[in-house]
Amino acid sequence: MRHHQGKACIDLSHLQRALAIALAVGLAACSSTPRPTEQVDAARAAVAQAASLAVGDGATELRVAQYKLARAEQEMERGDYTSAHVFAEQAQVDAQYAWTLAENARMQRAAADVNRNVRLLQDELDRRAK
Amino acid sequence: MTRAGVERSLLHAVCILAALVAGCTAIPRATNEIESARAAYRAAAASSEVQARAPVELQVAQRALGDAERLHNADAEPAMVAHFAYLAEQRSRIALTTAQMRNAEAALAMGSERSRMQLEQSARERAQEPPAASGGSTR
Repeated sequence: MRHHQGKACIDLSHLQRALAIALAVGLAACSSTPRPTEQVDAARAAVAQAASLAVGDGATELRVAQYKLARAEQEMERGDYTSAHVFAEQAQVDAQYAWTLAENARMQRAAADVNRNVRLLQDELDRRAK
Repeated sequence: MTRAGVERSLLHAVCILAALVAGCTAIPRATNEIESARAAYRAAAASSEVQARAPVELQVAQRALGDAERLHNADAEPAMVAHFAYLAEQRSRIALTTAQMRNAEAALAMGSERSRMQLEQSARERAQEPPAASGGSTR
């Protein structure tokens, strides 16, 4: 009798697990979020592009983007496509922001350098004109 | 008896009030995130630099904020509203930084042109220098 009850319990927990899995799979399948392969790929590309540039300015934003990309990949493997989609989209926009910050800093430095050279050259030209 | 009754009804009133307050605050809405996104977009849209140099990026940010607002108004899941609000906020920041970047690009192009003209002027002046001036020092 006792043995019987135990077996029934095991059967029940099996049934519960099977139901839970079926529900999870069903939800994943039914949800409007398909496997976000495209989003994760786009995030990966944006992170790679930013990583080649954002060493000083934008480095913090890049780290955030890299973390979110890793989370997106994890969630996709776990089958949580909604979370994967969210993390991938945020990683992409964070990486784009990181790249923009880095490129902006680079341009500001280049413009400042050129303007300094222009001033120096102008000083020299003015001196010679005297 | 009457005092006890008053105390009891007071306690009831406090309980009901507490429940009401709890009920109000318990509704999780991504209001902070939406507010933050709106502020970021306003800052970008108000900048004449952004309007002139990053109109496409600003439009992208505006569309993203519109998506977030629509979800917010439709009482969508707060996590999703927060997500779209975050995207809108970052897009607004991208628009602002892109405008600064293009300003610097334009300054760089102007500076380069100016320095090219200076070098030309310098070369012209050297060519016009009398030979005696350069012959002053023998090497």
